[in-house]
Amino acid sequence: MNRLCELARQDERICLIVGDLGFSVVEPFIKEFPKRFLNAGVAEQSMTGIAVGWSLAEDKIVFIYSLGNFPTLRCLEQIRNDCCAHNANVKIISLGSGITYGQSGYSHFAVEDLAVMGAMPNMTIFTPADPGEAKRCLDLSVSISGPAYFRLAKNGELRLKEEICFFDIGDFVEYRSGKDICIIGVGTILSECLYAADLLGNDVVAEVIGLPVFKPLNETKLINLLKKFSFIATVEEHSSYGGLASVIGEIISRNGLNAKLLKFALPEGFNKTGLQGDLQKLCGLESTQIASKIREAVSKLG
Amino acid sequence: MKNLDGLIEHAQSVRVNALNMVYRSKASHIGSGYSCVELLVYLYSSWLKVSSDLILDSNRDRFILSKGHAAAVYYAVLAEFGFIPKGWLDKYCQINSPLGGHVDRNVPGVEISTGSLGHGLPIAVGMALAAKRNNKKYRVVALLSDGEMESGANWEAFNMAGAKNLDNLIVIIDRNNMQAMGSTEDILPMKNLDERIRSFGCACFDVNGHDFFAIDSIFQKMPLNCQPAVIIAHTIKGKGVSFMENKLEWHYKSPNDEQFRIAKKELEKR
Repeated sequence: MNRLCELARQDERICLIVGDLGFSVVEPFIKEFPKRFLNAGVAEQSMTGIAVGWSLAEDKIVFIYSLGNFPTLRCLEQIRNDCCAHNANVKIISLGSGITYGQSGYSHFAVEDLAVMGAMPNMTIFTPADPGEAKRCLDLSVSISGPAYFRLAKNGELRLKEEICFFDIGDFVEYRSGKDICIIGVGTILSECLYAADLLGNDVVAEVIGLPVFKPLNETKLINLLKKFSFIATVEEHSSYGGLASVIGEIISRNGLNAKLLKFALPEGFNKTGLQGDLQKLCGLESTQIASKIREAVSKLG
Repeated sequence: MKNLDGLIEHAQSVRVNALNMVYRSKASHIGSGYSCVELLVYLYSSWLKVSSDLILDSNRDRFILSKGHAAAVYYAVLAEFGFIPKGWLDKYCQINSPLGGHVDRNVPGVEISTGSLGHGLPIAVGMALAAKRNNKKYRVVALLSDGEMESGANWEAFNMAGAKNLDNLIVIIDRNNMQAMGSTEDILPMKNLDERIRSFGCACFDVNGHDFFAIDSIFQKMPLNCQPAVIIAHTIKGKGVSFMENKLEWHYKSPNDEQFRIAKKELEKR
């Protein structure tokens, strides 16, 4: 939010609409830019339409801020028909990616969003793994015209990388180089991928990459990396259908890469309540589980 | 009232062109289009500050046809007032034609693509709000169907329009009393539609939607400069062709050769 305020100071086109969420987060923006702010209330369908109208009528960049599935699935047709088909400059920020709000339960799990938003035309999807990447994604989003979706976890994640991010739209980010397997993570679950790589140590030397921009992907760059590996693992806090594994699996298959894909994802319809870490464990997404599955697969074939 | 005769002629020409379009293409929704011919002709001839040379002017009035299925009539209106060549109408709903069965923004003069009901008003509210926030003087007009008033998104938008006193917003409801499966009153009665609208902080007016004098006298009061205005335009589905008037089937059908001949004769006689 601090970065959004900074950008808003530089670019007077930036406006913000919230769906009655963001208490104690959005106040600095409201205070500084009252005429560029609107609380649309608990009314996501009209919120999306209003954002599109606001953006198109006065050439604004309208950010929408909400949680979970509220600004996506609840108003999906408004996103498709009003936002994407008009290539409106509307950027949807949703907190609570995956099972971040584990204790809130099923209604608050955003676990089909990559599949659904990925199918929306013109949509750029940002999936940063840490605050540094999120900041870079925000900067990139205002540099492109058209709709974007931010899949964020919540405030206060640890930084995974100390360096300043300078990736572009389409780029993957290499966190660790390796030769035996390439682990691809999307979003904050990347931290588990990095721990898993540590656990694997020298037995299985793992490459770890993140996709801070889930869509569009620069396939050529990605293929050049992936073709070096016999094993590729995808790790996502997303339903097993239509997310990272589906996208990477298609790239492997379409390009004739000779690699086995290991998928780490949530089971379809996952419906348990608890702390995020406990739920991750239940779904085999914890670093120790990822590491042992990978070790098993590699030793079997290796 | 200026040029009333001219408006009647425009309306007649629009109806004939739309008839040709749906006859040739075998497309639907002529009944839904015929109920709003006079409203559209009035807006484009006499009220909206927009024309073919102003379609990119940042101060133009914005018009959104939320009932995007009235595309044949709307395109005939856009052709009537010089936004698109009349020749385009011949290819309506054909392959490679810019004109399809629901309103598309790639057609010159169209602000917003529609077709799924309940989308136009929230966008209009966003535009009206944008104008207010940026001290612009343009007005935003949205034309909705009455069946469309069943959609919750419209009431979300009315809520916002009233709360923010968007007096630069004018909403027209084409009250032809019919929706896709029958009479609106049989499906979900909305007899007190005006009371409901007023309860959301909007002013509400009734008008005969086929009477240019009546439409003009209401629009002379617009905008209200205090609150959003909603005009319930009482209309007849299929207006202008005797066998189409108030007949549900003309939501779907396109005329056969015989019906086309009769309809054309009736329209040209008027």
